[in-house]
Amino acid sequence: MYLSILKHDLKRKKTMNIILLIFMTLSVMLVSSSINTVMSVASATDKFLDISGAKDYFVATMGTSAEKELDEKLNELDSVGAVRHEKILYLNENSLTHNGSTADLGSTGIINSIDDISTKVYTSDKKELTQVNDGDIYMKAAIMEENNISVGSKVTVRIGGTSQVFTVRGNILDVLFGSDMMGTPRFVISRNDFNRFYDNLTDKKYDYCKGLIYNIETSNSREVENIVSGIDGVAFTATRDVIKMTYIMDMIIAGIFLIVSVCLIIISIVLLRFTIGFTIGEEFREIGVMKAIGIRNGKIRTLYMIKYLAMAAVGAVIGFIAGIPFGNMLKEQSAKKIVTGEDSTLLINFLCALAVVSVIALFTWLSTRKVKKFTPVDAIRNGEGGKRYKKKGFLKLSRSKTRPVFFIAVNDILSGFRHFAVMTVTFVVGILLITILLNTISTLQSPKLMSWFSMAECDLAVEDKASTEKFTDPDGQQMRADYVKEMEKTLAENGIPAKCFTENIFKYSVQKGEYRTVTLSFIGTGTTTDMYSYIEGTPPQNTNEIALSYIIADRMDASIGDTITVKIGSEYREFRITALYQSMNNMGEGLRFHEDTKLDFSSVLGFFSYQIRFTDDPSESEIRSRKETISKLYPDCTVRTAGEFIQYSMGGIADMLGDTKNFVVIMVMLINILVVVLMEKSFIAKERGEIALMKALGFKERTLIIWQTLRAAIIMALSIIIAELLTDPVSQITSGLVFKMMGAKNIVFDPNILEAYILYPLAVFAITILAVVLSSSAIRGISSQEVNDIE
Amino acid sequence: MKILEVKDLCKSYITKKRRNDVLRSVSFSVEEGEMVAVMGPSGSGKSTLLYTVSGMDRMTGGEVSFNGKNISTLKPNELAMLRLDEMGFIFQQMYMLKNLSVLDNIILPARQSKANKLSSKEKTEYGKSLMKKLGIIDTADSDINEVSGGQLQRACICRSMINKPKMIFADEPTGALNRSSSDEVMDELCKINEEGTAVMLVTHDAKVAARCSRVLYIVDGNIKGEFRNTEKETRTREKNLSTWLMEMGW
Repeated sequence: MYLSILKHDLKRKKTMNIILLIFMTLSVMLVSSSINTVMSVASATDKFLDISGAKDYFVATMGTSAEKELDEKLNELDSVGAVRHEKILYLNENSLTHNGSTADLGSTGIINSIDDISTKVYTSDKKELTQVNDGDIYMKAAIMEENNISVGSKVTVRIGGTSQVFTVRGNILDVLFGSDMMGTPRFVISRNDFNRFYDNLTDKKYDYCKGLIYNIETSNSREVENIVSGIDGVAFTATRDVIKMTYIMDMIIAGIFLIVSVCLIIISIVLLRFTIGFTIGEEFREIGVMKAIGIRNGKIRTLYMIKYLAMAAVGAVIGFIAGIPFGNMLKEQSAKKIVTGEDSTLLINFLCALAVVSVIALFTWLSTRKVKKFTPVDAIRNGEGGKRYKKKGFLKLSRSKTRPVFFIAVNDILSGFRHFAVMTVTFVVGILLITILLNTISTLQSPKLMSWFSMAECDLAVEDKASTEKFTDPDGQQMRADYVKEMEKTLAENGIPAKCFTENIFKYSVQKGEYRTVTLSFIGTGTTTDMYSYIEGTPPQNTNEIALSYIIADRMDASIGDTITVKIGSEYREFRITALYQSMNNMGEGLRFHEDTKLDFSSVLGFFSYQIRFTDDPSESEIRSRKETISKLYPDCTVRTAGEFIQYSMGGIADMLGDTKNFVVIMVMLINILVVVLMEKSFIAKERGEIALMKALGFKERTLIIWQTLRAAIIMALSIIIAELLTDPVSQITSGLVFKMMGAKNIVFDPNILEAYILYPLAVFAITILAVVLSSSAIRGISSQEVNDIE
Repeated sequence: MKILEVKDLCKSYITKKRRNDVLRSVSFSVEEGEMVAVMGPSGSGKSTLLYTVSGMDRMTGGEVSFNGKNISTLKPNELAMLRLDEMGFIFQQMYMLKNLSVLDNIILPARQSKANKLSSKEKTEYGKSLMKKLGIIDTADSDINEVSGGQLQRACICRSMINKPKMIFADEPTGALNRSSSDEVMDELCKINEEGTAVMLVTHDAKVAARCSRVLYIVDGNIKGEFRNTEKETRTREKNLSTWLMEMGW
């Protein structure tokens, strides 16, 4: 008997059952593949560090002055075990040329010999690179893409007075310098080629091109940091955790897929609850008869359990199988820059499938508790236990002047909102996912982000690749100030009133009491300290005042009013902290000097682009026109608007999120379509009598479709409003955490209102409503005389 | 003058295995202001006849003319407008939209009608006046599950009257009511009829049919006989009809 009842149910509610099965399948597939990806990526960074031979602490020196002192001090520490060195050479902005033009490295690069490298590097097919022939070169994939370099291309490397043409043999996966967030690109060549460059750098002025990377095994990174901080010539330090953190974007992408999956699970469960409730409501007469002839509640509930468990089992099997290739694809996408090795994912997939089936089983059992509440008589007499005397409507058509169809739609929602809860939850979650992603992407591309990168806001940025060579000089500070003045003059002569300024970057050791650390340190040329943003305190007013990033302040347990010591060259100078700011440079590092502080530019780490702020508040089109003029005035430089500069700086991350956003938008649309089709089918089945009655009374089919569509449209509009109101607070606790990990804790998102709050929600709205219109066309199949078939 | 004229009306249902001729060349007419009952055994085609002549169901053959319009040639939207503006319907189940109050259910067709030129307020007032007339004004703001079956059927009568139709079609309007409620509902229908609205109703109840001026007896999709009740006195009307029905094989 059970089988025949089940067969009847599966036949009669074919569409709903198929949609429910699709949801169950999708849930299993996405949950298993997403959890798999997250687990894989989470362990992959550790695994990548381990198999590459990366230890616990990494130091890069610039110049040869630091090596001896660093070796000696490391030797003195008991917590330090093995220390491996690798010789490197620094590449500046002009060091690499391709097809006659300078390749864009994005930042200072490094070049190694394959035989000297202390952490293994891998080819794009994730095999260890053990040998590089003379005349061959390998590099990071992003550099190849950025500069249209392909395998087989010829590139020229010039360091000091030596240059050599190399053939590009492929890209490398590099644990230390391979992530998108790690700006420094690494190039790998043969030992002979490397030695030729290295040995030719005999002139003292090229000393800054030489360096060492220390790969240090230690049980106390803090102790190592303290001693490293006191040594001049240290350009870069990072703990193992910091290196892991640079793969955060890969984790975020996987995390987004996990959130989508969790949303799908929630939607699936809510849908399941609705469907079970609906089925029981539809079957009350049969349930009544079964109860009347003495079938126990447990048996009746078992009937539904069998049905949904059978569906869940089918969904789990399909989802499990589909989850394997999908998970691999996802993992590959999420871990493009990571060598993960071979993982056994089947167990995770199986456990996830089992978990989803268990949730469905538990939920079905809980949802069928309603069966116990019916008495046989209630059920047979259409009784809906107590509902009979419940007030239904709130609004009165007799007191309203709206069109009846609109009134009925609104009244239906207000009278039984719980029936629309599934739709509301689905729509809100879907729109929220999209708006949060769009908010994050537009913020990552916003010119306002300049202030989070220790820069003052400007209209244009002029990148001069020759800056390092021009201004790495003891008098560089004055030379750079003169250059900026000259630039202002040149612009004025060409009818462009503007203020020009730039940033100069150093790496200094700072100390407060027992706490010592090394941090990026900034000083502006042409700026005043009040041109930057601070989260607390007042900008430094004198040369003995300083502003710190809150991350560095926290690291040293320093606060406003405290005095810290900065080792500048061989001199220890004291500064009073007057302000704290947030920075996304090097995961939150930063220190800002007053502009009049005198610094030795021979130890400068790098220079930012020249920035131009127009003083006559020109329009957007005028800025674009001036950009062209300035490009002609400085033909060797690349001129970008502020927006273009940020997009260029953050491009990889924003593009990666953009791809994910497209996936999420498509998923949201598909989910919405599935949900509304299912809901509409249910509504029409439930309201068959009312539809027949309205037809009998003379309502046109078009009007009835409008009625059904209006309800979904109102719910969708309401959901969009709720989602948009929730976007900022939810963004703060989701993507805001990512910004916080990157060093910015006070996030003001910079949404593209038109895109995030209007265009995308409207597109989702349009697709969803189209699905409602199409599915509610089933109304045409209901005859007005069916009014007499109502039970 | 004829409000409804039916000629050679046929209605068949074709299933996979067989063809079921529910109505076989039925012809009759209803005059303006007339009250006609349709009786017959179960499955004889009474309800199908009612729904086909009122345009709720498509005919297979023949011709139905309502108020001079050939409804067999009307498009679905035109039929819908005809039902909304010129016809009234009462069903056995007293079915109403469950999220609306009794008054709102009554005025709904009026609010939807473009032909009804009254303002929203006037439509509401007219709905209330009908409720007052049928003695259910106290239930105006009640939900439909808060009123009795008799009250609900009277509300259905009000709804059928709201657009001042030319004819009311009623499918077993008293079928779900007890005797006292049934009498009350029929009293109201007779009053409406006396005010000039034609009524065609399907019933199993001879007592209900006895209140109509004419009774059509249908068997196997054909009108087997027609009884005109000219007596004034109720008992005599009922007795005469019962005798005739027995002759018909009732």
